[in-house]
Amino acid sequence: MTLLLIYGLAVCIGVLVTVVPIMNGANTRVLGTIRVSFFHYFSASITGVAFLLFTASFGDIKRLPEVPIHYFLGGILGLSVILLMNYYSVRIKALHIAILLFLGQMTMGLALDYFLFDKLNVKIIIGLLIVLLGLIVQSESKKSASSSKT
Amino acid sequence: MAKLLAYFTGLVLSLMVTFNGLLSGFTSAYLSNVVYHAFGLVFFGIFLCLLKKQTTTGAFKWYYLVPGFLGSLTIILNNIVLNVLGVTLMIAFTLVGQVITSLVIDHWGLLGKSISRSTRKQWFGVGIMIIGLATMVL
Repeated sequence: MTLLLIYGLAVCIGVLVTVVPIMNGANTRVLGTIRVSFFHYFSASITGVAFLLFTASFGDIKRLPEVPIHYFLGGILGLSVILLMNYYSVRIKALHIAILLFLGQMTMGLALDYFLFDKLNVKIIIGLLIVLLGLIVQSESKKSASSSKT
Repeated sequence: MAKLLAYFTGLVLSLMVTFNGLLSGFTSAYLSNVVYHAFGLVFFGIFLCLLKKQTTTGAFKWYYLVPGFLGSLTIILNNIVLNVLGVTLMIAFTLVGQVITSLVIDHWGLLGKSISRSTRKQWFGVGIMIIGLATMVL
């Protein structure tokens, strides 16, 4: 049951990851990229602090000095992702973006799962290949559907 | 070059969620989220100050803050899910969620997007992806 909930939450991440850039994209037309990005991070930080208060997790701040320095790289990498996406998203097809991004995530994901989390097995690799096949079928159908309209 | 960068971004994305997950394992999912967004806040805060004259100045509306709220929720969920599922499974489930959401948004023209009816073939592709997920977890 708990695992089912976690699967559901993972799908919810996919919903959020799709909806947030669309909303930010609409706001960008009025405010411009820099202000939208600032508002995004401002609101996210305030929300984050509110979550810290509600969950009484403020005490964890005391542990920050003990954290290995490379654990903080997530924030810097997140910024690099935004800048990289801004560069290539207007230069290549949406189909290639979806597939190449997925392949990149999978390459690193498999390596990290093997070396760091010890969660890699043959079932996961076969499943991934099927997911990739599904992604290609879905994306190709989208392409042919939009080209038949024109 | 752009295609290589798209692949490279995928590599970086996986590393990003992993470092956030590791930080949340050391502290908490909520604190890791705050640290992650603090970097962006400082970066774009400095950027905004430097380019103040060049940025557009529309009137502020409360709904400009909604994506940030949802972004915060995304990172918290990432931190919780990653430590249970690992990177690969989490990304695969997330991808299916993304594809289904995109199809629904395009089909009904939600969030101001133009209507683009989904086809049976597209849902067939989603079906294959779900079979892939089942293969991974069963």
